[in-house]
Amino acid sequence: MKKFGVGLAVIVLLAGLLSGCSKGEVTGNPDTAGGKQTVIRMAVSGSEQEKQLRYETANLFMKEHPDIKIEWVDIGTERYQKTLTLISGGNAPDILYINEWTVPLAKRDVLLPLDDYINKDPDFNLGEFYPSVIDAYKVDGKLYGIPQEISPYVIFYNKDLFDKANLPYPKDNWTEEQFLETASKLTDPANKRYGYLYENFGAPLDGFLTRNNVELYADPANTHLDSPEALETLTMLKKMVVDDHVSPSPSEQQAAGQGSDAQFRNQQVAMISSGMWYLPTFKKDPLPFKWDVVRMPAKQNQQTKVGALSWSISKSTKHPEAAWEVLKFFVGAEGMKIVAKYNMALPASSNAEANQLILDSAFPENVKAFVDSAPDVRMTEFMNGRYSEISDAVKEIVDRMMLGQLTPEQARQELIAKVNEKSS
Amino acid sequence: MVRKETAWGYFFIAPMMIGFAVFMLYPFVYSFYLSLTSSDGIVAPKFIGFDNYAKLLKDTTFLRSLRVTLYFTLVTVPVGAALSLLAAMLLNIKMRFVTWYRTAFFLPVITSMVAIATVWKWLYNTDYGLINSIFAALGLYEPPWLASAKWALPSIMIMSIWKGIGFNMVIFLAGLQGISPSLYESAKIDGAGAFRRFTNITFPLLRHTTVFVVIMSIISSFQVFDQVYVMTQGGPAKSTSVVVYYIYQNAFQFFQQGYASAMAYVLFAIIFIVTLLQTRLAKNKDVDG
Repeated sequence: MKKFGVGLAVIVLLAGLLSGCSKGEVTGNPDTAGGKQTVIRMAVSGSEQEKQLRYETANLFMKEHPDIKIEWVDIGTERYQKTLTLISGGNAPDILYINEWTVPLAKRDVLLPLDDYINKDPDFNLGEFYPSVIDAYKVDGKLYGIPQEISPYVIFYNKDLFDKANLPYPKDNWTEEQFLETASKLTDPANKRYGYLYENFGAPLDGFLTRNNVELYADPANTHLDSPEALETLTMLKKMVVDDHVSPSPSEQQAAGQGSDAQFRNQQVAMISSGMWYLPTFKKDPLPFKWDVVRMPAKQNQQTKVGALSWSISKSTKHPEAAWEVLKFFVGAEGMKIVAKYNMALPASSNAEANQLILDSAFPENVKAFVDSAPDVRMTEFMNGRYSEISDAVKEIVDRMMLGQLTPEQARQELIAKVNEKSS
Repeated sequence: MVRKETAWGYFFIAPMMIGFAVFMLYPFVYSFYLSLTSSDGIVAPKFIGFDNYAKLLKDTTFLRSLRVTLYFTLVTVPVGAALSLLAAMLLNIKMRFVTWYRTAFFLPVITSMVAIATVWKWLYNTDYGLINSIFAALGLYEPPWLASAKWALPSIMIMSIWKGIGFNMVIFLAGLQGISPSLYESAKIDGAGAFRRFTNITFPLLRHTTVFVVIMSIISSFQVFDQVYVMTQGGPAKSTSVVVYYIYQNAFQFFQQGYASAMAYVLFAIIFIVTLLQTRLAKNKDVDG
């Protein structure tokens, strides 16, 4: 026992020595002006080009605000895990890059509500932002994140293949029926070419349901999964992918092992749905055919899903005022114009100047389809704290329907049961 | 004097002990505590007793992931052990380039699983993969491999067995070289054929080695994760969703670290009991011996 005591003492002593070195460095007084710089740590992630966009915005900001210095915290591709680790380790960046995790994290009380800063800041106009987008970052009426970029899903189509099939180019006000008919006419089994690439995950799946007024991520009482429309859309998806086979099935897509951009480029599919993030690649490395974009086809409404980037302030920040200045700049007119210049996403606000830059780019010709889709983006999934868990279960159920293990009606029953179980 | 020496002794083992305490013991104890809470990794954990464990029994996704893992273990362990033994016996023969062959079999072991899984993902590609190209040239059936709910798990099993052979082979080789050649010589003189020599000499004398190989393989198969994460993400339609992958999803995607810890402890209990049973069985055999 005594020996054990000595050993323990040694261990404790050494542990104490080690922990002595891990105390954080002391930074200057919070928010002082007198010559001292306030350091704001800001999360960054994504492609080199995306990071370039952030750096450019930050440099412009620091030129205007010499008292604030932005320091980057690269959170890599596993953004959420890295952020979670930083937060639990008490080392959260002042400005967080969390997008669809905003509501789950706000509910866990680690984000700063922004309402006070917005209300007392005359330079900032929240009214410029699309209401359906802003609502996605609210919990109990308080706002926890402000989006800088949104990228609504639209249809990219191959004009050459339309010409070959003698089909007129689609118009922004087309319907789901017209879309399905077009997809079937573009399908050419002999050449292993499909009219459309339906990807069975979150946004494309939710999009078709949403346009038929079914909301997987609403309160269980308001999903409308028990409506005839829910069954109609599930049946339509199965018919499109399995029976009519105008899109490669999920297993064929997995087998091909290529992203939708590659399959579109190789002309294996005539239409894909995606956000603006493909534009920089398609510009740098032009597609070997004529192409354009068009809005998602209307069903009961013409809503669409979206990829979005938003900024939040960590509740533990020592410099909330300075952090707000940075955030405000990124989502303000200057920040939005830089977003528009890079042409990889839409500015998340209706800021006329920034959106005009997108329209002027005329890349592709009907780039207006993105801008026109913006007021119709539907982000219910962002507001559901258990989004990832539900979407994982939903994907599995629809996968099984596509594999023929479930009828659309059985799939619907399973969806109802799962959504109820996960939301309880 | 003695006490001073003892103190120095502890001082010298301290780095290892501290490492063990910080990186093994503390997480081990803390994760058990987490399994009794509603921890989500951020908010201070709330103690909820054994609720997580009760919930597990009703979680069909968890029970299915247990079945998938069990199936994976029941196939990969015996097949893997048998193939490793076969490889060890072949490479125990004195021939040219034998060290070269041993190296070739051992190479997959020292290669990272993630790298191997990435390469195999392409080998398995249904349309452009090397395996199906060869099958097509030979006029064989081309399985959809990772793309199908039926083939995905067998695909991962084949790859895992291939990766594991080298390690077990080396252990079997060591065991084989510990068997005295005189036994084989006298058996030969008594007229025993190759098969008899295997069943009456090699296999019984390798028993301890086999027990070790089987125990280690079972432990690692229950913990299979990397290849699933890289190759299929648990799909298609959850056909390859093994326990550790589901633990990962709960801990790092679903905000349920407490629940995930409970799963980890259930997995630990299963592995612990299975290993205990095996060592018990092996010991009984010794007494009967």
